[in-house]
Amino acid sequence: MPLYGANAFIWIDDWTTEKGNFAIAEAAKVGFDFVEIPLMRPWDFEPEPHKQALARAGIEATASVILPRDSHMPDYPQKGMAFLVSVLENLEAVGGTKLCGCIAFAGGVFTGQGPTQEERQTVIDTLGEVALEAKKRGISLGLECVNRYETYMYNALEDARDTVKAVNMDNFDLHGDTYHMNIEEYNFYDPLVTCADVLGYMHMSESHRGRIGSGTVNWEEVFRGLADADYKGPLVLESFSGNNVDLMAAIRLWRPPKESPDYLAREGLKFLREWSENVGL
Amino acid sequence: MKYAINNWVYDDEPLRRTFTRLSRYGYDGIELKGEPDLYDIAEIKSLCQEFNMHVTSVLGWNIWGIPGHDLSSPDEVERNAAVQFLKGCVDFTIQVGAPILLVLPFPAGRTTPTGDPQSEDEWLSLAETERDNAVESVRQVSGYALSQDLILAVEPINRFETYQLTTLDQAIGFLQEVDADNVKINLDTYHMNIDESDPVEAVLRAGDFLVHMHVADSNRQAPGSGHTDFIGLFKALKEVNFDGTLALEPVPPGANPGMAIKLSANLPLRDKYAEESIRYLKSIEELLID
Repeated sequence: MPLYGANAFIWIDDWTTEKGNFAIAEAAKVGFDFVEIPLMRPWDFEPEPHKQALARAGIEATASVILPRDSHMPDYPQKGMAFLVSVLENLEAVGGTKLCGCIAFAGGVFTGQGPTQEERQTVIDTLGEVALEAKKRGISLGLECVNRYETYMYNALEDARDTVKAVNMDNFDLHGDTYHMNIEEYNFYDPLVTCADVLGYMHMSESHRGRIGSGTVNWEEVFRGLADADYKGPLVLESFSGNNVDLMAAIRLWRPPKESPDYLAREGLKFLREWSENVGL
Repeated sequence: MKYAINNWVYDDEPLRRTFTRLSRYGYDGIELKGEPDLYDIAEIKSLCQEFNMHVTSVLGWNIWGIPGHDLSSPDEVERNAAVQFLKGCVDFTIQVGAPILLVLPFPAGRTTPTGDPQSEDEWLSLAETERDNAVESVRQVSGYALSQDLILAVEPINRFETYQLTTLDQAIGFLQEVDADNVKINLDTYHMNIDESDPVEAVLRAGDFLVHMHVADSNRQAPGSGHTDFIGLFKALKEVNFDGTLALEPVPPGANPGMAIKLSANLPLRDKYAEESIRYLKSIEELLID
């Protein structure tokens, strides 16, 4: 049975100490095994209160990031690495063991062209070093692919698979996301099976970022793919109900979902559990 | 079903080459990128005659970044220029004999309100102003089009290309505000995959408003290469008695469609996509007849 996680943005519009602890409590109440912390600002993150809140709630934590614009890894590898190391320090302090998301590029930075070999090599070299830093802290990294409107670096899972293979570390894997797959992939089944050897983390998100099961993602293909890939990683619910302007702008979410956070979370977890059981995950 | 391809996906290729390609694979017509200055009208007419094809529609090229093309701009000079531009597109559409002009009330590519809003309140207030502007601009052009017996079709596009008008519901709301009988809706299968909960249901709900369709698969490539439910869509189109054209816009993979259509490595895909698109869609039509 997979571990089930939830991105904190289901409940809150920004991660502050107070809001973060609220999301931790809510995630536990609904029955998730862990909360995914959007650790976007390591410089004002306070690990200690969250460590306590997690212990009280009895759940674990992972973290996801989007590199800031001034730390776009192909252009600024040192800054990108410094940002990630600072996130790793915070994650270690709350007891988390997984860092995923846009760790190879900033959101919304474009060159007008596809990725060059040189850019990919910079990412491979830099993330190799970050993976070493992560390993010291007992943390593994997941490289996420996102759609064409958010980056040019990695859009399709197979693209990123090559990078994961090139980094070649046992604490470095591929992070898939059904929302992005809906825009980029030929179907939902094949890429999951093709990337079975590197896939370690999954965002389960609907085509419109609302309640899963109510959009155009073909969940039958997703779960069949995960089952045939013998996927052992966690399933992380990602629905957004917040109305934070930064987040809205970053993910181009101009229409908040109609349903309440609690409903999105409960129905989402139920949906993931039912499908997992159906396909024997 | 009638089929066309929009020539914007062929960048600046000479029209003769585009007509030759579309005719070879059995297309009924061509949709033109709506930048009237690019064309010689006599040439278009003579190509239509020679290849026995017609211009099915024109897509008003209201793209962000081109001065004088933003119908929603808070800047009156910009907005008036955009209205004049679109009236020019009305004239052009009539001259090339097409019945429909597609309209993007908010320029494709601008995903925030003008003026860099810092708070939610500021954002919402600027958004409302731009919406009112867009309604007024489209209303003005619709009056001009009505006098020439032309239909305007408003197109919702996905959230990464605009911050307003991304769904059918929003398009219907927009039409109610414009309140003009000759303003209808164009739906796009690629955009719907991103922003509609259920694209098939959207087609059914659009009903009589739906006068034209843009078609590409979920990954914007030729139909058949993604996961769009074309069988469901065709059934829905039949149910609403759709008698418009399916205008294809297949684009090679890549972060930037403007670049993807230019890359020399992608040039062979022009023939390939044109051939595959119509073959695939016609095979679905046949499937549904049996």
